[in-house]
Amino acid sequence: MSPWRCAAVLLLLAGTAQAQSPESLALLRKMQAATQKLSYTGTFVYQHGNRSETSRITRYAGGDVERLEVLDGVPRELIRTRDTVRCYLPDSRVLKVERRLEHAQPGRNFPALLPEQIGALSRHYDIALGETRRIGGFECQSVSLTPKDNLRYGYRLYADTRSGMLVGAVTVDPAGRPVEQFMFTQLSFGKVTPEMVKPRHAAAAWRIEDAQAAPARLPGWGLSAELPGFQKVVELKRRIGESKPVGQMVYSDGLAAVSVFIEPLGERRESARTGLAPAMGAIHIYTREVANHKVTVVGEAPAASVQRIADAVEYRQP
Amino acid sequence: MKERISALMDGELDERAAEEILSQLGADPAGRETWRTYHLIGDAIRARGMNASRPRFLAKPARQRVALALAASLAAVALVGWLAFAPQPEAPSPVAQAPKAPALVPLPVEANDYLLAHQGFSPRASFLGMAPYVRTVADHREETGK
Repeated sequence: MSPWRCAAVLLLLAGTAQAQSPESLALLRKMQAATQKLSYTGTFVYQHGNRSETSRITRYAGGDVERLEVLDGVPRELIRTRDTVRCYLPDSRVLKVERRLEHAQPGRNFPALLPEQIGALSRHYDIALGETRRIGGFECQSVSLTPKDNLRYGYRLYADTRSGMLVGAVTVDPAGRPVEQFMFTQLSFGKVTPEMVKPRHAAAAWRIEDAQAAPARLPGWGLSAELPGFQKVVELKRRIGESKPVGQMVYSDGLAAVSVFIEPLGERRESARTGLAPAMGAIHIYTREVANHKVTVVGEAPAASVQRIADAVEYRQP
Repeated sequence: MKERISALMDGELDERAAEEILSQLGADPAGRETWRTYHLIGDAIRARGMNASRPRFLAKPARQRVALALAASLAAVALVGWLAFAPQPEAPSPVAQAPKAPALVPLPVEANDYLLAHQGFSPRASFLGMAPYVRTVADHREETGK
């Protein structure tokens, strides 16, 4: 073998090794552990397009409770516990309750990624360590998840080198352009008390919208063709706001997820308008009508992927 | 409030008054809207060169620059540290085997409910914690026209 050819092979090998370097997977595992184990409070900015919103997030690891409070515009607050996500909307005096289906699938702590599943992400993403930079006073190491096709978004995650805590995250489209980002502008660890994750609102006499989500089969519904890499992970029935029961099927490639909502149009038949809604950062929503049902597909994937899933939804008489 | 925003843009307020109103704007969405609208009007007028009918707040360019600089420095504080990441406006990305160009429809009024329902199933939460939930309570009134 000529020296040049040898060098080319070595480079190729180096490239492959870099695509799934143990260091990058180790950092992802460290980030995941930090997300679960640390107590922290901080201010972060969510930005997409030319819009940005500042929020405060507090996590009390002892009780596994997290509180998110939007600081700009209309006041809104979310509290996540082990079992529920509660969304407080004081202006409209509405409390939305979402029960978590972590144990919908026995033996699987859904939807959390298990450490051994992180390695499987390399089926659809090249995972590599990237730049180091300072964010919000923290020395951060970045890890990039670059999609191997254009069906999904890529991610640049910035972790505090010391704790592993995620300090910033940028979602990029298949062309590498940023789509949305989360960045902590201030973050401190520890010193979190249970008081700090309590809701600010008593929500007495508020309207309660309980999603009443429960695993269920949706006979006859499915996709005529799955989007490569995306598999069905759960199927359930639930309410949307104050709606009648709506079916939900969730497809995921292990990192991104796309939900298919199936809602009977009923007798009044306000027909569903087929089309794509304006993007909300990485989230796309596509609506169409199938077998007298409104089908709404929602997910953090490029518009064309969300539309492909929507176009594949079909009903077959079971 | 509109009077005072106009005065601020005219550069008619002293530093203290300007600071006061700028901090009020931070907590007043309607005020911010007015501020933005006035700027849009100003931009449009400047773009069309309609000097004859300039609104009052464009009458004193030199002092206006001071007010704008003050506002800009305020914005800079808010954006400190991460401007370098600023995403470009969202553009539809070309995807191979793309389905035919979709019709564009307004955001469904239940968009936040769908997001709240969807978010809990996204494995990304393993890294991002609760941060992505911020989308589920986003203020979409502009998009939905509500």
